[in-house]
Formats: sequence, structure tokens, C-alpha cells
Amino acid sequence: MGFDTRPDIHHTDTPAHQMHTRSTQTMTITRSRSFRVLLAAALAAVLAITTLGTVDASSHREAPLIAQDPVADNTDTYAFVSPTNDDNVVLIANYIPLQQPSGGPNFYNFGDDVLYEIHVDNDGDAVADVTYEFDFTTSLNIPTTTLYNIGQITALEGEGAAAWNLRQTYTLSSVVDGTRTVLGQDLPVPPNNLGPRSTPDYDALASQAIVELAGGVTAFAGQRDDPFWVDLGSIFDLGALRPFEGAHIIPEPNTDAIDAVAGKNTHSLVLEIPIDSLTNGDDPVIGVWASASRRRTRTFSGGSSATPVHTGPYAQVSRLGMPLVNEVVIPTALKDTFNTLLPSQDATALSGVGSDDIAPDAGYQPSTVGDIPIVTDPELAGLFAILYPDVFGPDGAAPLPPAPRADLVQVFLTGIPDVNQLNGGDFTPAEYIRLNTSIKPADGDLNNDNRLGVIGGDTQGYPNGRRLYDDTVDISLRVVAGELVNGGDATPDLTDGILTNDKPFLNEFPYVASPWDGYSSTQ
Amino acid sequence: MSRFTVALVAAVSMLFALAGPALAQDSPSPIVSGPTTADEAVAWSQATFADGSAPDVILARDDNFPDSLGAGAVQAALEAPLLLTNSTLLSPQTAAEMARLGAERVIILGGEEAVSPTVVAELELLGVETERVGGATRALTAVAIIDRFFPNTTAVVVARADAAEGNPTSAFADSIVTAAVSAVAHVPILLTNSDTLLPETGEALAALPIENVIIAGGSEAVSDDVLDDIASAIDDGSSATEETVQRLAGPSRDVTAIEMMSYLGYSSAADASRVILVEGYADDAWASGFASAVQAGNGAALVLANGDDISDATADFLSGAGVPLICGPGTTQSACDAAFAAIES
Repeated sequence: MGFDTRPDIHHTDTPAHQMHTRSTQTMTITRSRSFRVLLAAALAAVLAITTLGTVDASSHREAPLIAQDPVADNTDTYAFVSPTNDDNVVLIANYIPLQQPSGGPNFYNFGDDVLYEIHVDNDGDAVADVTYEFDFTTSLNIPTTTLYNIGQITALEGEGAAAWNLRQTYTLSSVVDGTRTVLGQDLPVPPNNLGPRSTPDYDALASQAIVELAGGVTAFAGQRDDPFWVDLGSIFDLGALRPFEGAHIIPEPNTDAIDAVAGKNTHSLVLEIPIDSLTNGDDPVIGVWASASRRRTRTFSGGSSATPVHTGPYAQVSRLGMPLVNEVVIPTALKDTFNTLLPSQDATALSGVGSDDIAPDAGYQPSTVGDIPIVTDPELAGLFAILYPDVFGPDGAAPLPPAPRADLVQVFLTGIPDVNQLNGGDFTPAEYIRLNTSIKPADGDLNNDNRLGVIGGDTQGYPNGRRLYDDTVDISLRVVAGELVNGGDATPDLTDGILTNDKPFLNEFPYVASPWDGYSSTQ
Repeated sequence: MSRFTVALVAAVSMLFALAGPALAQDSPSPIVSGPTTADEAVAWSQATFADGSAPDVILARDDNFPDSLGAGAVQAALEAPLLLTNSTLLSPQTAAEMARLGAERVIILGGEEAVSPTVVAELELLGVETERVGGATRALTAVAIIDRFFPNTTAVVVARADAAEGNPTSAFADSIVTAAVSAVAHVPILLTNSDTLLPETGEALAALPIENVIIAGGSEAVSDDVLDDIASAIDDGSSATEETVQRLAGPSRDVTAIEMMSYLGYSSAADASRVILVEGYADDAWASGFASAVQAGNGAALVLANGDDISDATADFLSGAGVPLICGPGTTQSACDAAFAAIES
């Protein structure tokens, strides 16, 4: 786009598979220093509140309570048509954020006391029609050792696993219309990737944990590379985007972007499922979200046992469909509540919830119009106008679209007409991933996807579902900046400067890259 | 269509969509089953396990309930279905279900009079490993189950195993949901007569490190004298531990069931992930009720139907819960409709 005399922002949309390096760009602004400082002081207080106690990525530690409960923290959820069999859909839910690969001797494990679920709505009522439940069991097989393993682990069972102390297995069940059906029991979880001595040939070892189950379901549960990427440090330093440091209200010298999730691992639940077992009749669109629940009561023993007892009904403590929602849409005071909501409760629970006009002097005037102002009138858009006034302010080069933002409602609550709305447009608005399973992958190379998805002209990608390669940070930045309303040519090509993951994705199940090993890790 | 046009269309549709009601759902149908108790157990197994997904199976006689009652916690511990068989010959539908499940090990509950050596031989011919957990009496079978699977348990449920004269279903009236409670809470079951504590049960209570006892049903089911005897049996004379005996009871079996759900933490069905409706008053209601325990995990609540209807208390418990409903084999469509109406109210 042309900015005439206004700041020049260079486009960054070179082919996605070529974008493995950090991007640094320049921008010039003319606003006075004193005005910047005044606004920045006001914003500092606002952002201090909105980020209090959290270090967020897509949904890593995104709410105060779940930040204290990493085992149950759902960091990212993905849903895409399988690149290896387009009759299947792939569902991925990641938990346990920002793992330091060398974090022994107590490495990272799923929680025996957590109910992990991936849900699918196929009729638009925002209620799960199909749910997959993962129940984990941990066992100590060498109770006298202090270590995770006392020798090489070359197999998941038998002689090759004899030196492996702490192991996990899981039961995978489907719940359809309330009936829970066990698909497999005692399914193996591979060990953490410790290093070349403990877990040599880790990929071969982990592949032993891929299981084929009834109904054409393929499953994997275990440690993987965290497939998210984002420059957390800059974004949470007053919304800075390093490629555009010069345009910020408090300019700093340009520096290379830093992927805060690089070198970190997570624990992935991966399913590949026949599409026709998830969809409803002829409607190819499904809604997908994941959750983690805990029993309401935990009782610590007063006796000799250190094992707490968990009783009572389950309470949902983490929930994730679309990325970045709880981070940048939901006010901090409601983040914990949002994690307890079912999608069917979204429209009611969030009705009328909106951010105040945080800085009217900056010229951005949020509207109170709209049933869910935090979506139709998001705080982030207001911050854009303040942080980058020469770009997004009312007199800037690319003023933000006025509220209410129907385009954001499409992305976060309803789906896009003729692309990924459920049930022919007769649905309950809800926050989850919507995937049109009739839109098939162009090829089998996950690392060749268009990282910008729909706004990049690729309807196979986010926000139609979410693929591993979709750059949801950059997409979200650009959508909030108005790309769906004003068009790409009139909207700055915003980016945090990190354009892809630190490891290439696999072109075969389980698609998420192998985890970083502890021995080699510099984290 | 341009993005701008799409946005405008969405702005209009949003106004309608945000106000739109949730879509109506249909009442479910009861799980289809054959007429026998073994059929009903198979039906629960088929609903709960995919092909090849249950290496362990629990097997008990199909004509009397006490041995099966103890299966609740075992079902949860082993993630295994309860199947039933004719005492003298392996019931064919049960054999077929074991094959479908890919069963590798069968836990037989009860003595040889309950499940004969012939049945064991048939099982071995099917290539499965067998293990009998049983005693000379129904009470001793319950004790044997605890010895085998829960030797360190500090809590038990005590339920009656004898019927009041002229009311054969009273023997298991309060126990239909007890099996599920036992499964969810991982608390095994011991048996008693209504008016006298069976000596083998008393001995087990004294021998085990029991701190908490749950009595299933009111004083007509388990008398106050028995309750006192239980309290005495678990009192180790030490002030270091405080033993408790708690009665879960209501004026009817369906209210007792609700009390048991309350014990599990469900103040109403809205606390549950789903509701399981099982018949509570039929002569053989125990079979479906006990077998349903394997479906009770991960947050399900169980309630009782009475023929074609549910009680007002059950309707109140279900009212407005908005969770899925499963109607077990043996329930009627009318009862299922009534439960569904309450849940959706």
C-alpha cells in the first residue's frame, strides 16, 4: 500500500517457506516526543493490568489461574484436513507450555488428575456432538531410583524399556451424544526427549506411540516441539513490533525479532479421524475446541501417603478454540472465567462485556454498539491507534475501521459466510475453530502452506480451521488492523517479525515436530 | 464476493445470529438390548467399548445380583465391562462380546456354584486367561474382591444383600446406583443382611484399615443395629484416627440414588457431564444398573426410572441441566422422554 507522506511499512509477504529468518524493517514517524511519552505513561498502566501475572503466547499461561497450573494449560488447538489423506481431519491440542527440554529430573508429564478433551460441534449449537477424552495413568517401574531413567530407552515396552522409570499410558475414549466409548486402553506415551544417551533415535521411539484404533482413528500423545511462534518479549513491551520499532510511540532501534517459544517443547494430543465420523449430514463444517478439566476437590493426605485424593464433578479449568482470544480479547478480570465457559455460553456470558475507552485523547473512540463489545470493539484496536498513531490513529495512514467490527465477529464468533459457517448459517455464536472439511489441502507439504491463510488468499487456512503453519499472530494483527474490511492493499502488513516455527513440521502423522532434546538444549 | 461485502453481510447476519436460540435436540432412545440380564450387560459393554478395546472383562452369574454388586469399583479400576453368564454354561452372547472386545483376561466373581468350572473351561477354550475371585458366600465374595483389588482401602460401602419378605427387589433397591458410586469413588462394597451384620463382613471391617463407611439406604435396608455394629467393628480404639459411618438414604430408592449423587458432589445434574438413566424398580433392574457403572466415569450422574416415568425428585434433580442423556437398556421411551424433558426444561 502507499502511505504518501506517511510512514512507509514494507510488505513482508515473501513465500512462507522462505521465511525462516527474522525480519527487520524500518518506519519513520514525525510525532513529537513529549506527546509520545504522555500517552505511553497512560498506556503503561493499562498494559500492566492486562498482562499482570501472565506471560502469554497463543494460549500459554494466558490467564492468572491457569498460569499456575501448567499441566492443565491448553496452549494451542489445531484443526485441519489431513495433508496425507483428505478424507481425514487432524485435531491437535497442546498442553504444558514453555517446557525447558533439560528440565530434569522431574520432566514433563500429562496429569493423571486432568481430563483432557477435544470437542467437535457439527450442528452449530455450540455444544459438543463428539468429544475425545484422554485419561492418563502414571507408573513408576523402578521405585528405588531417583531418576527418570537409569539407562537407554530404545522401546516403549519390553527389554528396551527396562531402564525407563516414570512411564505414562492413557485411555482414549469418544463421547457421542453423551455415550462414552473406550477406543483404546494402556496406549503408550513416549518418554521425554532426554538426549542421545538416554533416548537415542528418538523419532523411531516416539513413532512406536502412534496407534491405530477402531473407527479409523489414529492417535498420539506425547512430548513434541512447541509449534507456535511469537515474539513475546516485544509484544508485551507496550505492543512493540520489532519490524516497526520506528513507528511505535516510543521508538527504539530496529532489532531482530526473537521467537520466545523457540527451543521449547509442549505435550501434544494428536488425532487423525475420518471426516464422515465428525460431520453432520451434508454440512462439511465442524467447530473444534479443546479443554482440560479437574475434579472440584483435592484433598491432601494427613497420613503417610503423599498422594492427594481428587473427588467431585469435573470443573473445566482451561479451554481453547481460536488462538489469542483469551490473551488479547478477554479482559484480565474475565480470563479465568472464560476458561470455565462452554462455547454455548459465550454469547450470553460475554454479552455487554467491553473495554472502556482507555485513552480518548488519542483520538480513538470505541463504540458501545454491539452485543459483545470486546469482539466488536476490541481493546487491541484501540491500542493500535495509540501505539502507532501515525499509522492507525484517526489521522494516520491507515485508520482502523470503525466499531462495531463485524469482520471480527466473523473471525471469532460466527465464521465467514460461504466459507466456514455451521449449519447453513443457523447457529449459536461461539468462540471456537470452524473448519470447512470440504476445502482440501493443495499438496501434502505442511511447510509449503500459505502462512497467512484466508487473508493470504488461501481458504484452506486460518481462520478456516487452523493449520500448523498458519501464522496466527500476523494474521490476527492484520485482521484487527482492518484487512478484512479495508483490504490488503490498504492495510499495513503487520508482523511480529517471526514468520515460522523453529523446526519444520512433519508431513506425516503426528505432524508436530519432534521435541528438542535436553542434552542439546540451551534453554 | 469482496471482503468488504462479506463484512457487511456478516454485520446484518450477526444481529440475527447473536440473538438466535440454541438448536432443539431430540429425546434419545434407550440403548437397544435383548431381553435377558446377560443381554443388558452386553448392551452396556457394546456402548462403552470399541472393538478390541477391553483386554479385561469381569464375569458374574446372570440370575442373582450379589456377586455383581461388588464389580462396581473393579470395573473402574480395570476399565472393564461387567458381563453376565448362565451359571452352568457360558452364555453365547457373552462369549461373542468377549471376542469382540478382544478380551485377554476374565475376572470371574463368585464361587463355583455361581460360575461353574464348565464355564471356566469354556472360557479357556476361547483362549482367555481366567481368574476367579470368590468365596463360599456372597459376603465372602465381596471380601475376596477387596482382598484382590483393594487391600489397602480405607473406605467401603456396605449394602444389604437380602430381600424383605414379599419384596424381592428390595435386596438391591438401594444398590442399583451404589455400583456406580463405588466405581466413581473407587470405594469397594461389602454386604450385610438387613437386620444383622454378616460375621464375615464384620471380620473384614475389623481387619481392613477402614476409616470411612458408607451405608447404602435407610434403616429399613440396613438397620440402625447393623450400623452400630459396623461402627464398633471399625473402631480400632485409637484416638489417632476418627472413623465415620455415613448413611446415604432417602424415602425411596430413586431419592437414595440422588443422595448418592450428592455424595459424589452433584448437587444437581447440571454438575454432571451427562446423565445415565437406568430402570430402578423392575425385578432384574440390578443387571443394567450394575453394568452401567462402567459408563459412569468422567463425570456422569446416574438416576433411576420407575417404569414409564421418573419421580418428581428425579425430575427436580435433572431440571434444566442441559447435559446429554443416556437411557440404559431396560428403560422405556416414556421414561427417557420424561428425563429428557426435565433436563431440557
